[in-house]
Amino acid sequence: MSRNFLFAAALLSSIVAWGPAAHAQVQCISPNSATPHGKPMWVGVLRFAKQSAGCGPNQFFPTANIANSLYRPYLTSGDSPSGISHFLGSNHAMLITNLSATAQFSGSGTYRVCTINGEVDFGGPISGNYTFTQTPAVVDNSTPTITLNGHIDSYGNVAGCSLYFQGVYVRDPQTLP
Amino acid sequence: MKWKSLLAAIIGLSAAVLSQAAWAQASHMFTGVLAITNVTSPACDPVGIQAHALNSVFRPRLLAGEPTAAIIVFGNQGELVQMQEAGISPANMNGSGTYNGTFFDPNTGKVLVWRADPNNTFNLTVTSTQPPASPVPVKAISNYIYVSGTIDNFAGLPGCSLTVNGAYTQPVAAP
Repeated sequence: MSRNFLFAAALLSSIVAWGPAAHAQVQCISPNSATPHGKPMWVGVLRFAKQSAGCGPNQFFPTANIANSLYRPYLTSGDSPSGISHFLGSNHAMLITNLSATAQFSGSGTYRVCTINGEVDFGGPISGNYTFTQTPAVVDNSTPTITLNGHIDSYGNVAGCSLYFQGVYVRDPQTLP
Repeated sequence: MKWKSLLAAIIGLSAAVLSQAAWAQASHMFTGVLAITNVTSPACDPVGIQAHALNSVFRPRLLAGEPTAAIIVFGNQGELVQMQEAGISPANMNGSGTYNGTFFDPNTGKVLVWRADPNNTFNLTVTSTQPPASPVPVKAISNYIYVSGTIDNFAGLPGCSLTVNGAYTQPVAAP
């Protein structure tokens, strides 16, 4: 994919590789949750539409953007928790992880975010509630296309700060069984 | 003399503003990903294309006077492909029709153009969702656009057929 995507992959790989021992505050992915290659994957774009006024006068991200994104929903026993990657601007990447071990980003739940810009993770995990409409509501191995529309709340651990997203994904043909 | 300079500056500025306005009011575009799920071999081998999900833009034709609908695909190594409907029917490539193709290959630095060939056919299903009704024909306010089907005679190669599955969403700054 693009250089941005490759950078994101390298970034996320490095976050996983560091693990809890190297960075005690990074717990976006559990140590035993690495997804083996070859499992179904969805590739797409995620549009960061807006952030709520509750993010404060010095809002986190001044402009909306649209960027490459990966969505890997939980599919079956043994899978890692669901995750969404995204670039918020050219110099800010994030991985949104579902705190439920088995839920897809369909409906409401709780999430955690790893971020990197000038710092990694803002010094600690960002967590809160999410609300997404996922189409189809349940994704399985053969789902060709997925859309996500919704928001994550308490971004930056700031009450009332919500980021709104609209994403669309297609099944990566390189992971077809 | 000063007035002439001022007038020229105003005219120049106005032209620039108008030009930018015209650019801002350009055709609607939808950003997404096109998965090439199957490539016929050996017909497509000369262009080295493989099953892959690639960044893409779908530009529909929504108003009279706009260019015909097109699918633009960006490869991982700088490749650029445009497949533009040869006519205005079927609307926004939803159905069977013919297209004109352009393929920039950064490996050779050449631009391949294949057009005005009745063998350049597509057979696509193009739908969109627009709450609360879905699916609907592609509109400016469509939330998502889906493209699936086949594109034949790719790169002007007889027998070279791509099976595609694409999905697109509104850009950040929709006109």
